[in-house]
Amino acid sequence: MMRDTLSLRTVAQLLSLFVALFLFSAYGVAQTYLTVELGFEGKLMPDRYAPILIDVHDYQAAEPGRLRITQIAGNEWRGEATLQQELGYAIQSSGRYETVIPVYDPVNPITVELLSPTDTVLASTIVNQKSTMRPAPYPVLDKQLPRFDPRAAIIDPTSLPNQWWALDGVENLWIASPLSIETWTAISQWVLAGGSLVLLTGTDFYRMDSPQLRELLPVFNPEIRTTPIGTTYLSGSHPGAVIDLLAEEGFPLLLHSKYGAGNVSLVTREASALSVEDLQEISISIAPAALLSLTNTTDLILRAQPAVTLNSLLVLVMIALLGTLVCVCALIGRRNPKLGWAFLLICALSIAVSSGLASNPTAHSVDIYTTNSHFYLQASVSLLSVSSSSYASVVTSFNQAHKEGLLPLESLPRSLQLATSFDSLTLPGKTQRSLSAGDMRSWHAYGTAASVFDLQMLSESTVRISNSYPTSFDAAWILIEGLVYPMTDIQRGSHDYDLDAEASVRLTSFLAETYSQRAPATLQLIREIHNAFTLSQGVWLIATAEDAQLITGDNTQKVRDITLVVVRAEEANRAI
Amino acid sequence: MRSDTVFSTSSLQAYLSLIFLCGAALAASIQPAARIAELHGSVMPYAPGLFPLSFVLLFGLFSINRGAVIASNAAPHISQSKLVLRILEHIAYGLVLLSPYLIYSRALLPNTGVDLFLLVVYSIISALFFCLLSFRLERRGDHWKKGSFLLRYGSFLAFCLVPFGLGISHSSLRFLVTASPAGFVTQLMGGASALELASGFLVPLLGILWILTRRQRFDRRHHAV
Repeated sequence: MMRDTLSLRTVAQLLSLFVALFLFSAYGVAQTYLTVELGFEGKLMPDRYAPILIDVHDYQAAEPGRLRITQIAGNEWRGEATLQQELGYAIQSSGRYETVIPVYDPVNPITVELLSPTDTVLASTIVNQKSTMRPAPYPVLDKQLPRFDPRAAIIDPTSLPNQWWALDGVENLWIASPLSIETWTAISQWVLAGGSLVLLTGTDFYRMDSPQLRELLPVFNPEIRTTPIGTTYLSGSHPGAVIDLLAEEGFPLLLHSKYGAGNVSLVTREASALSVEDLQEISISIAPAALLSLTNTTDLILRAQPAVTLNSLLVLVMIALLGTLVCVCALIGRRNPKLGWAFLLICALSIAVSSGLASNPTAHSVDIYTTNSHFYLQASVSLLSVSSSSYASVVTSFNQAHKEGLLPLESLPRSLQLATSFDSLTLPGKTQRSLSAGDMRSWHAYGTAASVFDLQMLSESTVRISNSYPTSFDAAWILIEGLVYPMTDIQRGSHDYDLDAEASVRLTSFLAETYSQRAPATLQLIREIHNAFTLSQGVWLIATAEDAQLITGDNTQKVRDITLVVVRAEEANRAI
Repeated sequence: MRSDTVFSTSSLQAYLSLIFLCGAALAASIQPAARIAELHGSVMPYAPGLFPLSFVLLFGLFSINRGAVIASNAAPHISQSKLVLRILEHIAYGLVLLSPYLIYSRALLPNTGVDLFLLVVYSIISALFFCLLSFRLERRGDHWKKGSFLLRYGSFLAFCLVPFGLGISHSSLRFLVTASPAGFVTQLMGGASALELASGFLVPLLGILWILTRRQRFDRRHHAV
């Protein structure tokens, strides 16, 4: 009996131990967790975009979860702002999710959370990168290269993100390996927007060769040559390129050429043939990246915009009318009070109705003024740069709509201790923020874009333009070797347009202050991009469209959208 | 002609003053035509609330003035209904005259329809209260053979400042802010709660009831004597 009790007790203990172990392991299996990689080799820069890679582990749910990133900018002395971005992924299972996010102040920890549809935090992780944060842009090197610059991040170029603005914080990108089409496209877009690319070729050229690389190369008809002492290098014709360094044997070692707003530098020898000292010498001659931004110009355009207001002169007219009315009524009313009242009612109500018509609140009470600039740049690849500035005339919270997929990078001032907070929440397609009366805010974002125009020069005086943009354009100009041909407008679809040689002006006159009174705002944007692109060479199409609308709701917003499209005509499409 | 009718010379002066002063407040509360850069850099904030505030206060002062004029012209035993009608005649005349300003100022108010309606209703009730208060003080002054000018305008000032001061002195007394005409307008512009609005309307309404019931008792006693 005693033995039976003992054995029962042992079985019960074993069973409970088994159950405990099972529950513990089951709990361990079900626990969702996140791992995050941010920046290149962990390096990132404040107020720039950086790539983020989020791995969601052990997650399976019927209802899709969301990923939210929370950043704190500033400190107790500067003031603090909480900036949140929700990524547009509907997460139903474990997996890898990558995107590019704006990074504000990486000295503070960045929180990444997986949220359920009911906003419950399912998993979260804190990314602390204050030790790897860089105060200025840094070089990113192909793993084939030695770390000749201590500031540099070394990466496997095949892991480069396909969203070109991931390279926003990069000073220059050194490539010495073959890449996929998508990666070459992203790099081309980045260089077009103002990036700085260094290509190390030599005997590796044929391994790396691709149409996108040939488009970027500063040389035409590239071929590998060997010097009498057996040194191999990449050679070719280089009409537009600048030779910066010559090798000891006399062949060009480093060439530069412009590509869009950026620079491409070609090192004619392969990476393995260059020492650390050679690379350091080359790096001195490489121009830093400077991405095109229209934020300042958009800000200026908004500042120049007239504020919607009531007319004070009408008040003076009303004072005069009512003053006269009350005197006339007194005269009439003393003889016949009923007539006095009738006269007063008729006249005062007439003035009231007129004043009501003159002060329509939907047209005269504007809480927020916003100017958005959409800049499409189209060459062999296309890109989009959006800048937005807002001014609030009252204290207000508002949702600003923007293209889905854009994660705006807010321009934060040094001091965040103003009347209203700089907190913001970006959801897919909109950003929520609060502004106090007199506040001015701006942000910018980058994106990819499909081709807007197909441009073909049919003859010296005729051009065919296919417009695939959803709307027509109010004004356009064709630029041929520094001569500007004004056009009326560009309708949707494919149309042939005649170029009026008599109406053409030199580019310098076109950009002068006095020209084109009809589009002063867009002219400011064109002037800004003129500094980045060589518009005086080749064939370009510049088209602009403006739209102003009054959005009523909780608050009245006057939104002005300016679209600027700059197209560089392909050599193949030029018949002249 | 009686000097307390709406067409009398003294009334003409009062209405002209109301038109000019309210017009000046409306002109001052309109944001000057400017570019956004000038507004952003401007140190002087534009105050769209200046007109509603000035309108309520000036209309209150106008009512104090009208109450005294009616008191000095009305018969000693004027009936309650006649008195109220005479007061309402002045208020209506003033409101009709200022209606173009009120309509024009719609674009300055954050919640145009509701706020404007509440503002007009409040100004009518408070004007009636101030007129009755002024009437009563003037009659009392005549009875005691003392001028009531300082008392009338002093009580108006106290009514505007005391609840406002008490309301902002402590957070628990915040509901008192709307008991003052100035506080009512500022809270209305900033989005007042139902309780705040109720206390704003309640004070002049209770004041009207108190004055009218006191007058009835006084009249009865007077008749009895």
